[in-house]
Amino acid sequence: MLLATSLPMPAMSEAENDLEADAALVRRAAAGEVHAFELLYRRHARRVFGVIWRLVGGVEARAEELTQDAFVRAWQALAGFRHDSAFGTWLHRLAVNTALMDLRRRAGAEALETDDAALEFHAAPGSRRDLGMDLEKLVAKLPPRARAVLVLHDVEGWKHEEIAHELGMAVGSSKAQLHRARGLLRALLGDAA
Amino acid sequence: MNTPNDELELRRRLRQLPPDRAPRRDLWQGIETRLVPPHHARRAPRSWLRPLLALAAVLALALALAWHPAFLRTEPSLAHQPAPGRADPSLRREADAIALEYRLAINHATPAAMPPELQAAADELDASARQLRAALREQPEAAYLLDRLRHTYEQRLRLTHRGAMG
Repeated sequence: MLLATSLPMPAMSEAENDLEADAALVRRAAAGEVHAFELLYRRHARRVFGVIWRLVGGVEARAEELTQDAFVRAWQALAGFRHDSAFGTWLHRLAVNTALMDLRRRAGAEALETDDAALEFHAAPGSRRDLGMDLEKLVAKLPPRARAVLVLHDVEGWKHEEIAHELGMAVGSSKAQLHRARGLLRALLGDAA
Repeated sequence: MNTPNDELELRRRLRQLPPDRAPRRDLWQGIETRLVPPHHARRAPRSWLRPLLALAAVLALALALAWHPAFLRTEPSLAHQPAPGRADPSLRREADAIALEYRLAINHATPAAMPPELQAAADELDASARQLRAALREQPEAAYLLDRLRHTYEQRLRLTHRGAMG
């Protein structure tokens, strides 16, 4: 970049351009420029909403609310963003964290996810009304914590260590939840077939 | 149903789920209304606060005057010369140290241009600090003057920070 004016530089890829654009917008937003932050929102809202929506089981209103929470938290934390990772990666993790915090707050969800009987309930033949539902909707049917582990591992590509850290559980518990979630999902898919 | 192929197929389908999803409505407005400018909380004091700040400086000075009438008699020529035989070197040194410490902090934080509405209060606090230091030179044993001086510098530093946040 330093020699950009004197030497021919290879064209930047689209991804690099995106990173540069994000970095510039982040600097402006961190200085208090709301419009720059709105542009960041426009660039990343679909990705943030996507992961939150999936983590909360497709509950649209809750996903909307948590997406807004995530962006407000991002705004508040922008001054601490060090540019040592991509803004998108940082924001994505913050969004996941926001959704997981909500999950932890919900005592009812906690009770469901630690109860094997709940998993059995979700996989029970009575749920054959799910016939014809696509995979997305079946994932949404999983108990909250099992769903969170499955989404983060199998959809988002996180490692068990990262998931365990974010969810405040042991790595072994994360693996066990994933195993259960996949089994349950297969059962649901079998029902739906 | 539970063959390795089933497992692989399930994972392949999960990986292919689209990462993006558009919310049904634009969420920006709800976000924007909740955004507080980063420096908002530390910005220039509200209009009702400015006279209060100036009043606090005046009160600090008035208290010092009321408690120690000699304060009124401070003359510039005395200001740099402690009264012989009455000086408490430890207090004087402490006053000097406080003054130096705060001046450094204030100079470091002072913006290129102090907002005019804060400048008047800053001048007033500076004048109070000068008078308190002069009184301390004359009455170096007066610990309360040292407390007042510290308090005045604290106010001045806070004011400077507000000015810097613009």
